[in-house]
Amino acid sequence: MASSNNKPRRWSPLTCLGTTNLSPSGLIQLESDAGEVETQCRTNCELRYEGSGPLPKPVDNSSGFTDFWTAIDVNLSCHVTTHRIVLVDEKESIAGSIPYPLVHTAEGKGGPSFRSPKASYKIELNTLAWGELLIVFRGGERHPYSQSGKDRDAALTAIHRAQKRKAWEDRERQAAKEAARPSQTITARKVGVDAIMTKNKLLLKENANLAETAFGGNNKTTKHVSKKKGNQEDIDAFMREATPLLKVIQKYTSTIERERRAAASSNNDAAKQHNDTEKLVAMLENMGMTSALSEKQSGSMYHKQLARQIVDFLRHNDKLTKAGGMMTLTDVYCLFNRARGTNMISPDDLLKALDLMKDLGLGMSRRSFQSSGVLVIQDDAFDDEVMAKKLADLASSSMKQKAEPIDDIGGITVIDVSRTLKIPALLANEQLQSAEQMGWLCRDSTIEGMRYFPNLFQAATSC
Amino acid sequence: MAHRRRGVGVGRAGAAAYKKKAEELNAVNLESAMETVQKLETKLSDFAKVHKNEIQLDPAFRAKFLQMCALLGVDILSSEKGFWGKLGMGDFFYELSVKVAEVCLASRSRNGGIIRVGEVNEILSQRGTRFKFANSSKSKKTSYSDDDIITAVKKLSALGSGFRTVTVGRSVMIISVPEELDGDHMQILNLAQDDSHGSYGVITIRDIKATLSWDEDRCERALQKLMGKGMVWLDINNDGKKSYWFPSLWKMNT
Repeated sequence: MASSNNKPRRWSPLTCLGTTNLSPSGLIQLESDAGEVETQCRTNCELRYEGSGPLPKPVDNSSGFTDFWTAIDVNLSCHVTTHRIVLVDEKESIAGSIPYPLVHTAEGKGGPSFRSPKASYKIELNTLAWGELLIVFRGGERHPYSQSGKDRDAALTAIHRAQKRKAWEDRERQAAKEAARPSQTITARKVGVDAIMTKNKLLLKENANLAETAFGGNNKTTKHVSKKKGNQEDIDAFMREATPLLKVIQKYTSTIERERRAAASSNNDAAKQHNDTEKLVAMLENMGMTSALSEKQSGSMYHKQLARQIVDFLRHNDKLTKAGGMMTLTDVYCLFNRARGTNMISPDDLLKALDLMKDLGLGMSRRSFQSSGVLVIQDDAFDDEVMAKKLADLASSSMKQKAEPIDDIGGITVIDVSRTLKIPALLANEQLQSAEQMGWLCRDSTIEGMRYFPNLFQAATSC
Repeated sequence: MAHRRRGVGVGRAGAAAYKKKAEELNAVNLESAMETVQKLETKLSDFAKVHKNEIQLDPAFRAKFLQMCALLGVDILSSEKGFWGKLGMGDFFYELSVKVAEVCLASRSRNGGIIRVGEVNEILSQRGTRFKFANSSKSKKTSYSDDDIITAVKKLSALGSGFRTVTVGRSVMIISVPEELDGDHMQILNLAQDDSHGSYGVITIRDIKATLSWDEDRCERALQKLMGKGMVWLDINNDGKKSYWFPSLWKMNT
């Protein structure tokens, strides 16, 4: 993580903030046991320190810095969580955080004024440790100025909300609440079994109340039975209303096609139309109507982040390496969703995230086998040649040990490989086939199944 | 006479005016298209809010809802992040697809990678706790319908491991291996499933020859292929009679 030890660190506001650890794939490590959650993330930001003179270097690691102070960090992404504001320089893999307890005020500044109609949108943070810091929003590629305004506003609302909520004080508040609950205070006076039983009853009642208030009243459950008949009519009514709308939208999908082609050929005043078309397509995709043809999107933020999460997950405990450097997508999907528990991903999300992995340079990529169409995720370090040689060695060693020359004819099957190398049968099959294509093995196909033998023809012709 | 050749109305102004008119119309169209989409979105989210409970608990309602969306051309499960994430259907189906994948994997050594949807459903309801998710808060048993399982498998097929459904006679089978099953295999499976010829789930070459009128060679080839994949078991009794058993068609004892 971060820059290597021999390269001097840049001396700028970002590196003088609180140290932040990033995961191997560049994600912030949130303190989930403290309940930290990321609420907003915006890219294309800058961090500026407006004070005179440089900021003091961090106490724990004051060596290893360059002597030259730059007051501006560019090309950062700004992440707002419930406990702090984190700024990340993705290219250099460094990050700095500003915890809320140290933030006195956060105000929006900038924006168009009379004198400077295109002044940039900023957030001014008045911190107790680093003085006045400025986060400048540069917006996206299409509409930089208006986008930056939206970015700034979204980030500012998230920051204010988090400050109001004071999530970092949650632990103490929770403990105080627990102590004050009637179940605790009442039973403090009782003794023995009586105390336990009363406590249980009160606890159950409190939990039921909590659930009720959380889900906004339980009028649904009482009305459930009588509403059953009504549901079918609801659906029908809904269909009646929605179908004409849908037909209209489908008509426009052909319009979109035309616009696309027009925009491709003539690119002057079709530009504005093109933007609207893209907006429409984005809206439709959001609704799940992907039949409305989506061109290859450059990858939404969500999928980019998902890609990083998946890579982190597979590197954790060396899962991918232990599986032999290669895993079927189904396995990845199942493992990842099981680990997540809630907020699971769809297979389409997984595919989109995989497509982005190569561009993001995360060390893993998707690979499909031509003959059977099996899709796997493969470590970049995986080498077909190495694997084929391993299999050839396995096959040769199987020819040597022959306890009963009649029963044991040597050769390896998919099951043998799967058991020895601890990889799933599907992948073992693929590896054996590719080893055979490379010329290391020969197959023998009988009704007992497929056995692979070392390729003696190859050895024979070479000598 | 001369003006006649030039045409009337807009045509008089020429092609440029047509183009401009077309652009104007397009702009209006696009705007109204976006309005329509937004209107639809609000309608759908209102519907979802009202019926969220229904959808999660009642498999019949769920199936109808999915059917409606399919008719409208909307794929609810395409992404958790999108508009439909609010329904909470995503979690339900992704969890189910993970469970189905695990059940198929566990039974692969027995049936070679082909299993009835009904069997998957039985396994899930009987041994539900073994496949339960750690964070799953549903203490009441969620009942899955066969349709739910089929939808889940459809989603899994995008992952390239060959998950797909195939209809054999009265039942729907899930195939979880990328092996191909051609028409001959399907016919044999159909025959094995049919009660009227021999017992259920077993077949002899004589049965095949009698019903499908294939020659010896063709029967042998197809059966051996299935055996090689582990989907069929060969049983030779004392008289040397060969019968072929299909573990995927066996029903669990209730």
